[in-house]
Amino acid sequence: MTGQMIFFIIFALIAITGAVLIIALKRISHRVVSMAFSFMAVAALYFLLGAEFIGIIQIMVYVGAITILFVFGMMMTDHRNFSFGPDPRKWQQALSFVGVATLLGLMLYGISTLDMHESTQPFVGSVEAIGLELYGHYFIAFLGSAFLLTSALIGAIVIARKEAD
Amino acid sequence: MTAFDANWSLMTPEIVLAALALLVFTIDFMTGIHGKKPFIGRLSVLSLLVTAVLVVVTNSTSGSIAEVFVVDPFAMVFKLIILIGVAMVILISMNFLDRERNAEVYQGEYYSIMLFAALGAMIMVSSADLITLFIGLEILSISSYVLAGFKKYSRPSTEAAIKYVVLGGTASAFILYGMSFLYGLTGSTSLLEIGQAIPMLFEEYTFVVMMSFLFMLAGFGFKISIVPFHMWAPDVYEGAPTPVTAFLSVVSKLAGFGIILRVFFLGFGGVYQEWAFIIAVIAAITMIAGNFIALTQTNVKRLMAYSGIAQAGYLLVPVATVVGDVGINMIVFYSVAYLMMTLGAFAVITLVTEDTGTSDLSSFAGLYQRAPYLAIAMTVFLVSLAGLPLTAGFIGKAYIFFGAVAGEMLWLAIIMIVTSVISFFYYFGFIKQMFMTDPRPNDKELAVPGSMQTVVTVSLAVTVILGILPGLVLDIFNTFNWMAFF
Repeated sequence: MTGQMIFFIIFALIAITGAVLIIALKRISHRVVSMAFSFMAVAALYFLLGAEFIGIIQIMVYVGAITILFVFGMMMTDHRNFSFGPDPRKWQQALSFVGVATLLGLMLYGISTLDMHESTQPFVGSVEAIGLELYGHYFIAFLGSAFLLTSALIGAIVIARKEAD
Repeated sequence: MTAFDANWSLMTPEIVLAALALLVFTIDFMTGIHGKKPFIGRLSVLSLLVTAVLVVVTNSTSGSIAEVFVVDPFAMVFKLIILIGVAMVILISMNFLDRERNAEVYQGEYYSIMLFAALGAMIMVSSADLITLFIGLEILSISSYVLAGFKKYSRPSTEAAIKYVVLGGTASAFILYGMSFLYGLTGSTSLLEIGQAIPMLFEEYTFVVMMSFLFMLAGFGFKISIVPFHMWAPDVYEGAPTPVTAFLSVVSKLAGFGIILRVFFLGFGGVYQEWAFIIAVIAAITMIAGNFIALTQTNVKRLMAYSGIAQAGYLLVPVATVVGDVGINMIVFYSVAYLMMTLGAFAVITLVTEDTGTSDLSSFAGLYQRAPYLAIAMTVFLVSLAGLPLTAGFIGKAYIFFGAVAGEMLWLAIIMIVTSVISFFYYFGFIKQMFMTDPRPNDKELAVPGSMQTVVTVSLAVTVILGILPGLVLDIFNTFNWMAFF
């Protein structure tokens, strides 16, 4: 077992455990911390793959900005539990567990059948290459995401705005 | 290292619509936060019509920008459907927002988000690259989530928006996960390259390719609300403001069909035989479940949700039975018919439910005595939705039916006929309320404002004319080489 493999397993376990804890934990502050751990481990996985730029962006945007945003959101809102209907029954929970487990099993089987060729040349996701693709081939997607964010921003303001009267 | 060379003039309609949407937004915040802004509504309709004219003028010659953004007859016709659909939804909205009950809605933002949604849908149907396609889809989806929650002090509207955003986000995740397998196998996000590689990949990695297909089908299926991914539709349609319900059931759904056709025919076209049967089964379940559940509904908006699910099932039939240009002919023709009959019906529904303040089926009681023109128009729309002769819906359904028979899927064609017959029951429930029941004691004559009159008249005219002379558009469609953009 190579060193890369060992680190992969460690980070993968942290990422998955963090993600599960986000759902399983009860207090929202604990959830935010486990989210930060999960994001951090994903960044480490990017580094292992040689995608350094994406790794740094992941740390800056997700671990830095988004986690902090959640902390602010937590501070500025009051937390009440609310639901739209009765809690799911036991058999409903069991049924969804079986469904999700089957899906996971099928996915794992599918991935295990993959026999991908190992890439011969070492790959480094450089900033230059990403920039050229982003402002060249994917320019329309880049512009489109600007409109996506505008529309999301307007929507967020409309829905969250408190009347000043 | 070369500069990115592109023929940007192909994007003229999108660029103009984006500029006009920003202009509408700017004018809005210069004219105060609250208040009625009918001029912005008119300006939005004008922008959409200008863009529609530009689509006809500039998109008539095919071409592509780096095979990412493509212009072909398919993109052109779907863009026209989207633009006209959104313009009619805005005309319906103008009347809806005029009412005292809906004064809480920020009008300027409402219209500009509607325009952004149209822009997203246009990018979506015009892209042959998974990334651009997904960005367009997300512009449309996020705008729809917001629109569903625009009446933010109304509990049903907020509930609809939350349900929609959570489930819609999950559906988007499914689409992305499916796409990631395709990218991993081919190393490309271009649908053309994927389409070339898929027959060989299918030989080698059958399971993974099918998994990717099914993930994407689940995600797209959510967007067009086919069974078993339809659970959100009735709740969201019921809670959302009525014009937004019209938007979701027409524009959002038809744009979703646009990308389903694009991705499945262009990307997975090489292995059509392998997945056509899955689509056929889903179409059958959708038609059966949609029509049967609709029988039990008493709320107009929920009923229209299930009717929309059933209609999505009819639209899926040609995807499963006829490959190539003829199949697209059928889908596009039925899309045009669906656009007109559904929007016309929603115009009447908005007017009636807003007037009576309830969306129960009984709000239609005695509509014939209150507004004879509306009642007759509504009858035509319902008859067309049910698929009876002399309407566009009949021609569209007959065309799809013969396609299914020719494609040797007789069982599917039979299910289609049987479920259509079942649908008569709930559509005639409407008609019975309108003509055979007396209006409730305090209901007065219903005034029909100009914008509604326009929508109803246009949809009525198109529904009837296409029902009698389908050749008018079918002859044009037959000359198209739908997805040829090189």
